[in-house]
Amino acid sequence: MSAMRVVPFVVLFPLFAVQAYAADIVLGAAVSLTTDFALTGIQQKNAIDMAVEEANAMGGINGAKIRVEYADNALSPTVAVNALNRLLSSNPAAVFLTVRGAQVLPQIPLLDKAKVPGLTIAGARNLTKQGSQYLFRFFPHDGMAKRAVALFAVEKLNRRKVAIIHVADEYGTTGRDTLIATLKEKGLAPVAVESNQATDKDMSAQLLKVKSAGADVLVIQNHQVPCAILLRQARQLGLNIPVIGSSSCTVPQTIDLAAKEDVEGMYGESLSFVKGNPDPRIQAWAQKMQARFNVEPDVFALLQYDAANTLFAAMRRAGTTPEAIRRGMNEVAHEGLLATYSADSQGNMTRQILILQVKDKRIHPVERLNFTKEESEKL
Amino acid sequence: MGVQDVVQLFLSGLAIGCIYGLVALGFLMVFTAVGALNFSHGELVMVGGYLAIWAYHSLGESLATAAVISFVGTAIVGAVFERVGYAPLRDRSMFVVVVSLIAVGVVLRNVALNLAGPNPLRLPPLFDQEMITIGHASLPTQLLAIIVATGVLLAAQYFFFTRTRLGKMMQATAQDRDAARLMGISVDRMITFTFMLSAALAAACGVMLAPVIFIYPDMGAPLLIKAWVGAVIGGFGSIPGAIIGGILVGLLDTFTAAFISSDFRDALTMVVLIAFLIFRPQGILGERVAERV
Repeated sequence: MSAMRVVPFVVLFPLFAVQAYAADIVLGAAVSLTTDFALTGIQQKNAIDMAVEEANAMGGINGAKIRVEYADNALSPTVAVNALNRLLSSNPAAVFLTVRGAQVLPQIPLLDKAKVPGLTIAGARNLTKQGSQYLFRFFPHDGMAKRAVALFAVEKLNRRKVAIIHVADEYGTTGRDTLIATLKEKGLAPVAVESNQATDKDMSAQLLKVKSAGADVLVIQNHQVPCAILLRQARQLGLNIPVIGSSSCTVPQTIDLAAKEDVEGMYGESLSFVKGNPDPRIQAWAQKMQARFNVEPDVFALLQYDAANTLFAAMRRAGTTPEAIRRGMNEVAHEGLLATYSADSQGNMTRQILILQVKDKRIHPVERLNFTKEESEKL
Repeated sequence: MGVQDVVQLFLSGLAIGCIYGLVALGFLMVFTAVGALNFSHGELVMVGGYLAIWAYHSLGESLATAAVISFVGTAIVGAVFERVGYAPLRDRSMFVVVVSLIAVGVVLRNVALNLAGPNPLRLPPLFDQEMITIGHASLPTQLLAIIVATGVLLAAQYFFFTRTRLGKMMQATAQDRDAARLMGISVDRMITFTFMLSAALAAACGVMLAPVIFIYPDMGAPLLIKAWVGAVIGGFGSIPGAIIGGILVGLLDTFTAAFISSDFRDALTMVVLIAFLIFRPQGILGERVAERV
């Protein structure tokens, strides 16, 4: 091919490329891709990538391909705000947000100002109490989840002396407050409320206080690493009482990190679980994820996958502009792998809680609680 | 809370304090030798932990082999750290050197994240018998091992610096580089050895921590902050001060959480630090530096 024939292609290629890009639907994802928080951030990214690959393989959304731009939240709310600002400058149709409530909270005003829908799998209750019309939450909020935990401890395990150890951040403190409020409804007060930093290495002081307070059940509201440390030290200190962990305590990473005897018999709350789940659709999805990314997917990945597909369903229903997506998210009732997702008036998309128990390092369902939209809004 | 609980608290605080002390010791070693604050020393602890875990799973599940590989491997990383992060900038201001060392630490964290992934990893317990009963107290073997190992490492370090030729040359370099050079000591080589020894000490911390608190890319900075506080309280620049300060911080953390409030544990430690800075800036064992006006 002569140089004269090549030149027009070289000149015109960028124009074709720009045109192809313009037809794409651009989504943003502000998740933690580095630091400790990447533990869940990588799971989120894998799930988003899988959902997008599948949707594009099936022709995209009404013929348009989906493209995702990522920005790293790292571990600070400030970085998370900068990450979202950077994504919003690309005019995305919608953005996926992190599982960390403390990072999502300062991002909400940015979503409202830009009028771009944001989808989070964070559980912190107050996120959907900010009055935003653009935030949609796919994890059952802590108002329901921690209520379910407190009721399980009191009504099913017949315990009266509840102790709480929570991480000293947004996630930990809002969970603690809901636990205390639910216990109060039952005429009870916790016998011990202790906190820890997410980076603490030694929790023996908190655990010995729980022990000396005579607690007959321990509720742990914490992240993965502190949860594993607490479980080990509780056993070493002879704290032989039932433990109910938050959703972070029941993900495979925490269970793998802890010794078998540390987690044996532990209860936990979550929306569901992946490893050992009897649902063949979930098992098929997990195998596909494992084969594609070589990482064992957890419940947060599954939830993120469902969130992405709910977004695509909303886009097919209402259109792909941010405003159409907001409308679609409020109208859609999408049946995902874990649940049927539909918004209440605050943007909470799911309302079911599963109480689990770990036996022989495997998760077994114990009790499922379903809340109504009215209860979800009120709690 | 009974006597047994208090003994358990004391040992927990002592063990974590020993780790803070050892981290401070490695940090001070570099500071004494070259006058630079290596705020990435915590990342070397992380590297040591990862190397031990890798060696354990790759080379026959022997903890002894894992420990040796970790010490040697981290010492080599320490030498590279010095060649890349310090040596090219040694004639620049301390600010430039500190920024460079922090940058190398960020690189180490990112490398760890990409090679090992974000999931925390752990070593199995160093001993089959997990608990030891002393009187009425039942104590984790691992914590006692950390306390004993700290004593052994301190003794070994004392022997190295006072009884070996290499140790004496390193000490001479730290005290007066020009005089050491005039005595025929290769100052550059001694500085590299100092970084290597400091890194090997960090590896010892990583090996001891791996079965207890797990290893993950961002574990270094929180450790270093506590170690730094301990070093200041103990008397910045003093080796026994670093250990005593580290142990004090560990005990303060533990007993504050047990008897005052876990919510104010870190805050109280920092209040004590500020009090030292105001009323005894030279720390417990540091000497007051008089300035002629």
